[in-house]
Amino acid sequence: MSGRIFVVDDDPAMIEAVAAVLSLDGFDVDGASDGATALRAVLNDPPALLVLDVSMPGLTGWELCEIVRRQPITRDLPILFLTGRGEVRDRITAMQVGGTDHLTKPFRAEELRARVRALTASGPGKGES
Amino acid sequence: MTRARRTDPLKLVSERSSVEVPEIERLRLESLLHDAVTGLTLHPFADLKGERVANLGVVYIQLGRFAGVESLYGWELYDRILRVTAASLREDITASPLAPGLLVMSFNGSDGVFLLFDVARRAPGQRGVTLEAEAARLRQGVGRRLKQAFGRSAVDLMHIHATALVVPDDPRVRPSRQVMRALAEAARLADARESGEKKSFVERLKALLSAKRLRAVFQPIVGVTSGEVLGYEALIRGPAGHELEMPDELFAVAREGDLLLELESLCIETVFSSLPRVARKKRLFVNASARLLTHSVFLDDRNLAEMGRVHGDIVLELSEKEVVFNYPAFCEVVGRLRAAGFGFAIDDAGSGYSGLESIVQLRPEYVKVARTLVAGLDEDRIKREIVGSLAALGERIDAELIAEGIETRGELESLRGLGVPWGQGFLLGRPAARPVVTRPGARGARKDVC
Repeated sequence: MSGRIFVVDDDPAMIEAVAAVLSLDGFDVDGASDGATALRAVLNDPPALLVLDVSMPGLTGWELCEIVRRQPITRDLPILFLTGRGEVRDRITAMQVGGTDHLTKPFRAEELRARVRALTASGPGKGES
Repeated sequence: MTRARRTDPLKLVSERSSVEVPEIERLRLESLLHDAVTGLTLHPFADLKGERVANLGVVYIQLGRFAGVESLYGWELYDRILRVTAASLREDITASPLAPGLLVMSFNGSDGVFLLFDVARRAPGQRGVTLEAEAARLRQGVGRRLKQAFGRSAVDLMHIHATALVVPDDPRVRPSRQVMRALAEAARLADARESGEKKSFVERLKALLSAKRLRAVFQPIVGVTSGEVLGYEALIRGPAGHELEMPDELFAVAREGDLLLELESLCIETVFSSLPRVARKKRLFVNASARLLTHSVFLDDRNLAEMGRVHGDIVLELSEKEVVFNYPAFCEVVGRLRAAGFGFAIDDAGSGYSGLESIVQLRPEYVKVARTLVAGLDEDRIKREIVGSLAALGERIDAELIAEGIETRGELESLRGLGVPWGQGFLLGRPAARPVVTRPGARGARKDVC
C-alpha cells in the first residue's frame, strides 16, 4: 500500500503523529498547518487522500472542504475529517460540506490506519469499501 | 512594480497590479458567492456588472414553504429537490424565446430562484411571448420534474409559485436598488399567493377534524436478523386520496392553523379505537409531542387508565428535538407516565437537533435511528459512524436501537453489521390497517400475515 496523503492541522505535532502512523503502511505524508497553504498545494498536486482538521485560523476545514469539492481536479478526492469535534451535528456538517469520512480526536492508531486504508483502496468517489 | 524590459511585449499595469486578488482568496470568494448545491449565484449583482437595463424583467420561482419539507425530511432530500429545480430551470430556459435576454439566474439561498431578463432582447419573431407565460412554463417544468423524481409524498404539498414583473428603467433610481426592490416585490407576490393557499388548506383540515375523518395504520417493528416482531408503530392518515392524506401534510397544515393539539388528540383517539388484533398482542408505539404530554389527554388519569385497558404495553415516541428537560412540567409528566406503565422511545435520534444529551437524560427503553441516517448508510461512512455511536450509547444506557425507514437490502445488511437489533421500513412491512410483515430472505421475500 502506498500513495501520498496530505494532512492539514494547525498543530504541527498532530501532522507528525499522523505521518508516523501512516508511514507504517507505506504512505508518504505531506502537511500544512494552515488552510490556504494546504489548498494551494492540494490543487497543484492532488494527493490520494486529504485529512482535515476543522478548527484552524484563517480558512477552516469546512470551508477548505467545500472549495476542494468545487474544483474539477479535486472533486472526487476522498476527504477524512480528523477533528476534536465529535458531536452528531459536527459529523452531519462533515457530510454537508462533502466529507467522505470522519474520525474524532483522540484517535486510536489502528482506527486511523483502517480508515485510511479503506479510503485509499477504493479509489476516487465516495471511498466505499 | 518592476518596469517591463524592452524585450517584453507590452504588459498592462493591471496584470501585475498589487491589488490582484490572490488565487486562494478568489476561490474563497467564489465559494461564498455561489450556492454549493445548485451552483447558482447567491448575489444577482455578481453577474449584472453594474449595467443599467432598460426593461428589467424578473421571474421568481418559489418552492412552497409552509410544508417545511426540509425540516421534515432532512437536508439531503432538500438538496436533491434544489438540484432538480435548478437543472429544470437551466434546461427550460435555454429553449425559451427570452433566453437571449437572460442576465442572471440567482438562488435566494433558501427556496427560490430569481431569473433576471432584459425583456427587449428575445429570439426573433417572438415579440408576443409574455414574461408571465414564460414564468408559468418554467413553473410547470419544475413541478413536472419534481414529480418524476420524487413521486407524491415529500413534494406533494410543496406547491410551486411563479411570479413575473417588468420594471422600466428610471434614471433617477440607482440600478442596484431598483433590482433589489424588483426582487423583493416578486418575492412578496409569491408570499401573498402562498398565504392564500395556506388558508384554504387550514379550512380543509378543520373540516376533517370536526368530522373525525382520520384513520390509523400500523407498521411492524421487526428484528433485523431474527425476523421476530417487536411491536407496531401507529401512524395516522387522512382519508385515502385526500390532499391531506399523509401525516406530514396534516401536521404541516395543523402547525400553520394552530391546530396541533386538536390534531394530536384526535390521532390518539383514532389509534385506540382502531387497533387490529395483531397489534394488541405486541408492543404498541405511539407518537406524542412534548406539548401533547403536558396538555389535555395525558394529564387526565382516566384517559391513562382507559389507554392501559385497551393496550397494556404502550411505548410513547418522543422526537429528539422535543425532549426538553429544562421544562419542569415535562419532567413531571414523564415521571407520572412511567409510573403508569408507559415506556419511552426517542424518535429521530441522530438527526442532530440536540446531540445525544437528551437521549441520556430521558433514559428511554428504545432509541429510534432517524430515517435520514438510515437512507443510504451502506454507502456512507459518516452515517455508519453516527449509527455506530448511537449503538454504543444505547448499550451504555440499556436502550435498544430501532432503525427507521429501511428500504434496501444494503441498508439492512449494514444495520446487522452495526449490531442494530430492530428495524422498521418498507422492506420489512408497510404501514397498513392490517399490517403484514415481510421477511427478506435469500430467495425473494416471504410474506407472513400476522
